[in-house]
Amino acid sequence: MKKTGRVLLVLLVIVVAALLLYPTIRWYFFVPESTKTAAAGSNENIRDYSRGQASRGVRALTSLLQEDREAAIPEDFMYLRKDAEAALKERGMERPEEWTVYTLLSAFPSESALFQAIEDHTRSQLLDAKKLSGNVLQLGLDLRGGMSVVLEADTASYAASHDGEVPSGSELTAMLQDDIDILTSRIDQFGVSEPDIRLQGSDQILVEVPGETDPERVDAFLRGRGSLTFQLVDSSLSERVNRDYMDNLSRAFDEDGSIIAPSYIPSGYTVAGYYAEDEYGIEELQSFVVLRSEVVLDGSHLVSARMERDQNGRPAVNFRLDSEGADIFYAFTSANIGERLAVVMDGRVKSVATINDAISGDVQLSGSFTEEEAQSLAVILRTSSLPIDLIAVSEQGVGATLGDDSVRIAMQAIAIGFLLVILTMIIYYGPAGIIADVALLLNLVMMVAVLSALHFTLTLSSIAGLVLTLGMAIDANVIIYERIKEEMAAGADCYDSVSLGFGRAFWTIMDSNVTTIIAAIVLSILGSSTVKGFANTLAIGVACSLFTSLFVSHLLFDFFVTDDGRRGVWLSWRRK
Amino acid sequence: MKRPFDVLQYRTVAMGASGLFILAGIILFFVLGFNTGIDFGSGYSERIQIAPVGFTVRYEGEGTAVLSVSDGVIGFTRRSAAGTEEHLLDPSEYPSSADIAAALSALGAETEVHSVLPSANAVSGFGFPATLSSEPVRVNFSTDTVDCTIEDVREALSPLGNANVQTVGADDEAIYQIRIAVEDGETQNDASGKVNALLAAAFGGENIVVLQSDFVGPKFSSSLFRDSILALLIALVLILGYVAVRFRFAYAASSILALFHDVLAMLSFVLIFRLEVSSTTIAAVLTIIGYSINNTIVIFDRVRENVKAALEDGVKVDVDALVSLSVRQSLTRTIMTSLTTLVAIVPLAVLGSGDIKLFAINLTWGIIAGAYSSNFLAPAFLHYFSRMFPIDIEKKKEEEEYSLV
Repeated sequence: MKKTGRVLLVLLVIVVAALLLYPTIRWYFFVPESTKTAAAGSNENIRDYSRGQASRGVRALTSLLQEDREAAIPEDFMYLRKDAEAALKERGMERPEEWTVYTLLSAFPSESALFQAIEDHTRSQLLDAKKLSGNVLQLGLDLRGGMSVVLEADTASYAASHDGEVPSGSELTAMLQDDIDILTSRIDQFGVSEPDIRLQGSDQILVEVPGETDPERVDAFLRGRGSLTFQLVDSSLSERVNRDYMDNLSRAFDEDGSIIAPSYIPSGYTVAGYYAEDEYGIEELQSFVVLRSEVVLDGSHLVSARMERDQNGRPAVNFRLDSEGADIFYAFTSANIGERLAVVMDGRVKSVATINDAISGDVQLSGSFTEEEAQSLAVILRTSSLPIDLIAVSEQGVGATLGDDSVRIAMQAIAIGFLLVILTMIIYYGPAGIIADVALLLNLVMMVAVLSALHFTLTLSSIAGLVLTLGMAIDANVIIYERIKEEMAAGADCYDSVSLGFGRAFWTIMDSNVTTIIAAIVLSILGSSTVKGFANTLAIGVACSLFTSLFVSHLLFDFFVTDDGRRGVWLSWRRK
Repeated sequence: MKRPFDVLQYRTVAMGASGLFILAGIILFFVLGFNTGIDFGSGYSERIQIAPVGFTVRYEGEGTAVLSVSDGVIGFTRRSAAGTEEHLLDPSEYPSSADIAAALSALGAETEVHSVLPSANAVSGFGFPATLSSEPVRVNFSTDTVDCTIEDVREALSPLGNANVQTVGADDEAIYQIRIAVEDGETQNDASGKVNALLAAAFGGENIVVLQSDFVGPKFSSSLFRDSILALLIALVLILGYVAVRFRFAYAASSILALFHDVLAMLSFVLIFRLEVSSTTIAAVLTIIGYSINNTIVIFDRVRENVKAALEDGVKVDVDALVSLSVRQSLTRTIMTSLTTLVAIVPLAVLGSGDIKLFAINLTWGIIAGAYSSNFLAPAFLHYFSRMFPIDIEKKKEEEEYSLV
């Protein structure tokens, strides 16, 4: 490969690493603390907060207007200019010469439009922050704490589905043990979130997950399997129920929040609510749907679910059915063309579609699914159902398990270790050591970038492991340098020694690292939680070090060593 | 001329020493077992709140009286022959703890005010709702002026060794979750007694409200542990396969044996020095596996190269001499690599504390054991295996050199 090509490839890797690191850097350095705190709440909290902010904002602006019409727009509300311009444009008016509080407020047709604009702004800011928080390198329970959830075995629902049989103490504990294993795999899909899941007492499970306190996340891993069904819709009955209920919702629900079926609903039909998420991701009742109780197909026939976009760009879920399910579905849809079919998740209608054609294997359903829902559905489909259902009895934020002092000292020790690695190389190998150190730094950046793209959780021990991996990564450079020295001692000139050294060392480095990668990959596939996380770090570290030592440092050498013998590089401070 | 250093001379000494060390580990495993921390053993978990006492209540009147706290509001319920009467003492009506005590006195209870505090946040501890008797019941109130930080709690519990303390909820509420490992046969009472005695000594027993306490199970169940061991064995078999294909079987068998030694030597170290086994121990073992196989293969690669060169030159191959030579030739590299890994981790073993210190100590030992086994044991194993599976026969094709660029 030409030198330019090699330089471009290295630059490309650096750019990709920077892109992968961007969300993490933005979250930890550029999102204000207040936004982080506000975004940490549930979606309901975010809605309340945004509306609160909006009404405070409207009041602040109107009182400012009364004081001084010509006052400049406060810094915090500068974003409103854009909304104001849009509002003006819509009404066919010119944008004012100068923005003052008066011109800004008069651009909005009504106070509620202003309210809406502030609310929208706050909401999108917070929801963005919330989304971002799920996409960054997390700090583990030991460094920053997270969310603690106590889950209790739902013996009542167990009894209801097992003819009133109540599990004995030891049976319950055994079922909870199984629940723990399933929860672990649900929460820890890639072994990267380092949760802490334990049995508490005899009927509770204590879950601690690093990251923000977010009740939606708890719901996501508690949802059980089989709660997804396909059922036929009765359109005329649905219309009648909606006419009766929609303007008087209080009649529709009993004290427990269940829907009361009107007396004219014949047996064999059930009434369910059609829920769609509002801008905050909170489920809101849209209408009532009367369903045939007979279930066409349930979740057990689904093999996978994937989030996609339909032609209109709305999130849709692609379900793939197993062969038996596909046969059932094909037979059913061909017999019911023109009818309407509902997808019911956890008793709530998520989507209603008209059957246009006979459908078999793949089903695409657009509807009120969000990306998160489709993803959590896919996760749940991949894991088995919980032997006994769990109810969350408490959700609370918990602080770090390690004290600030011990974290600070440990981080200092890690930094000292890293510096010592760098110094050792420079002291022993001189200028060539600097090349190895440059490769090492790039290795560090690449590793952190990959880990942050995988939403890895950094604990103190994984940081220490990272530094040790770097200590090991330098090994490849050491092997190469020793080879180059040998070639030089054997009488080759600088240029030949470098290319011979790299060539001879290649298979040594490959063989020794591939064995390590084999171990890491097997452990990452078969191991569980901590093992998995560590194996992933090891594999990523070794792979990155192959690139930096064999490719990047070779490139750097080629810059300093020319074949005309005019330039060379020293592998120690002693110059012969 | 001085005879060059021959590593194979020390093979019996090295194998004997390693054997004894591992044997000691195995004996200790059966006699004492691992010193399991809270990740692998059961633990005791307690949630406490540090809040000053507002007042104490006793009741010796008619019927039974129950004092309850829900959402920070104190309720007083009396059931007697005359029927049930219920009083909710709303903080807006009774703004201080003294006001509430006075109201309770008026209802027939005996109260003693300890300190006057805002009554908005009464703490509902373990044992609430409380049936009142001649024994005084404490009512504590959470204030944001509690002079206590999580560091104080950690400090107070430091005699227990590896106690795990976290804040719960907002910082100023002074609610802490404490988790400690329990020994075999220890009851919940023993564990809570230990914790609460230390807390009482530091913060005053009357200021501690236990909100919840329970046994918790291990973080790692035995099934997870079994899976990990299985995964490890599969990984070893695959490494064996790879090395057998790329090198020869004798190399593969020797390197796997050396790897086994490293894992066992690390576990023996943990057993002999009674180090606590936690999730970081697993991490340390995994890291060392990666490190050690890497080390061994680099030396074996040199042996392979030397054997091949000798075959090409047509001289008689003295496997033992070549093995020794290869170890010597790799010596600078071995020292440098051990040095760079050790300087990375030793500062943490010296300066760190708790779990992370243990992790660093484990790793330091693992690096030393790994370097030792690659240089002394693996060549010794190769010496024996090459007798059974010769390595000095020409292999058909072999890459001489290769470059990525």
